[in-house]
Amino acid sequence: MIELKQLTRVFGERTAVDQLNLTVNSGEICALIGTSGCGKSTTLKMINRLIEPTSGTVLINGEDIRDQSPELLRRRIGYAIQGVGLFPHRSVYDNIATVPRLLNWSRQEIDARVRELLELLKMPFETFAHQYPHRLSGGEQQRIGVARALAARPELLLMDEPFGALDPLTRERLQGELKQIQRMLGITVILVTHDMEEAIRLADQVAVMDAGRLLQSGTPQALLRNPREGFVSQLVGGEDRALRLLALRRVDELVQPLDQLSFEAELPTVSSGMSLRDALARHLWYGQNCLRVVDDAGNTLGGISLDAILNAEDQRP
Amino acid sequence: MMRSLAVTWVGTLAPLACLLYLAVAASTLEPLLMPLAPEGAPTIYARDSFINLIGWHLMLVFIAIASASIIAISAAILVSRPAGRDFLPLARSLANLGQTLPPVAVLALAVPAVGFGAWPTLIALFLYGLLPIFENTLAGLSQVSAEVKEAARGLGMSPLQRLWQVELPLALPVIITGVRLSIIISVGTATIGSTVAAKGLGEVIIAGLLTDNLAFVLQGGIIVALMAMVLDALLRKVEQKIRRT
Ligand SMILES: Nc1ncnc2c1ncn2[C@@H]1O[C@H](COP(=O)(O)OP(=O)(O)OP(=O)(O)O)[C@@H](O)[C@H]1O
Ligand SMILES: [Mg+2]
Repeated sequence: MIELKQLTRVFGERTAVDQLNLTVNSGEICALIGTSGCGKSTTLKMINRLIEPTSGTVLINGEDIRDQSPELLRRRIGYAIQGVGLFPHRSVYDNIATVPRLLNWSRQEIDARVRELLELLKMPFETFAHQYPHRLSGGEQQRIGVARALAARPELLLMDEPFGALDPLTRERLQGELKQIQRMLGITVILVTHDMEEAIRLADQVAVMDAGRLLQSGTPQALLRNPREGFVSQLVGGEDRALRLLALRRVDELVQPLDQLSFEAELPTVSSGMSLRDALARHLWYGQNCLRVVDDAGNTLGGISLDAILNAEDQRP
Repeated sequence: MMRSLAVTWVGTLAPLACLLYLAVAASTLEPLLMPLAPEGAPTIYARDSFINLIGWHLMLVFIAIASASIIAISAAILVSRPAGRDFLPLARSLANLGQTLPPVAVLALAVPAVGFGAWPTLIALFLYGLLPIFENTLAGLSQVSAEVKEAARGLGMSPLQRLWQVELPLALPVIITGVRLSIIISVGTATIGSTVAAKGLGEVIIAGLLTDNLAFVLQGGIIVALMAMVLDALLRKVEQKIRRT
């Protein structure tokens, strides 16, 4: 568990972060979101002591981060940034090996770990390990940046706009990979973004900041359903809110037996793992009131009706 | 590709071959240079062997530039740290002073203090060599991107580790350019050391000037020029090699 308590940072006249309180549960992804200059990066950097707070504390599993030297603390916390900042004079292998080497791991351990991480990120060892960063695409560099951050098996990963500079398709793919990896490793992630879609897609908890203050924090659903007046409402979007909420729920929540529905013979299908938003799009595309729901193997599970989706928010779990 | 390879090799090897030839077999050029020497005077400098003089000359240059490198690089590192930032203007003006004082004036000032011989020459070359190395080290360190430096810090490298493992390796090609410039300048400048009795090729040139022997002046001048060319080509190669990785 990560606890930020009354965290404040003042630069000269300017209060970049103002008495911020935030708790992030272990094994969850927390997205810090807000407009440019609202203090997201400053907050993040106070967690690994790249910036020292003017006042307030950060506790990691109950331990004050100031009990440890900044260097030792940072070697325990993964850190990935938008500019990636791969070392241009070091190969992919040596970049990933940075923190394990600082921690004096043995050569065999390091070798095994680099192979494991490249595999996890679907980058073949033979192709990539001995490349230099300037030969990689932006998306590949970003992956290596994440691999480097994860190298010493940190329990906490801090990411500052990790996908900001990528095209939408690559960004979406990497977001998917990140979520998968995070679930698999069970690590805690605190991620800075100014993209609401990204926050909703990835996060278990979204924390909205403005002018150095925390305005509201909660699950994406909670934020979308009951945003506080003003900035938060504006950020989660007026009409888009309904669609964003649907994007958070899956088709299998609303499956009905097919015989309850009046349907025609050859219904188009949707898969049970799809989001309700995508299912709605398919209803509209095919001009149907009802679609057949199938699982990954192609077996029919039932049907989903347009009405059910339109009323989804009234019968929410 | 083939062609550029051939060109670079000719660029390095041709001056080296000429230099070696002059060093060991200058006497074979006697007929060629004869017309330039006064009647009855020797054509080829014979008071010392060229090998010896080249050796002395290079030694002066290397000792002076090695010390200048140590001092200038350390100073540049210090003033580029947060704690040393206040000393940047001071260090910069000292290095500038070293460059603006003419080496001849330095010799004249140094002789009363340290006597004749190699010492005053070393001091002059040292002072003259500081500025390019200092400025290039500063430029090299400052061009390391902010993101790379932040990553190094965020991953938990100590200040010393960041310097040795990230900043210096990334600045190295630019630093070597500075060292190369200083070496080239000081190969030429070292010739004036002979006016205060430092061993070196200046001796040949000065002997030629004193006796109106153009052959001597030409021999000394050509050997010095060839030395500068060989060193320049070698260091350029080193630079390229580092840049490529
Ligand atoms: N080292 C610093 N010195 C002075 N002011 C700073 C420093 N770092 C940040 N600030 C100021 O603090 C405020 C918050 O900056 P911060 O980098 O945390 O914003 P951010 O939310 O990450 O913005 P962005 O989305 O643009 O990255 C800004 O007004 C910035 O100018
Ligand atoms: Mg930022």
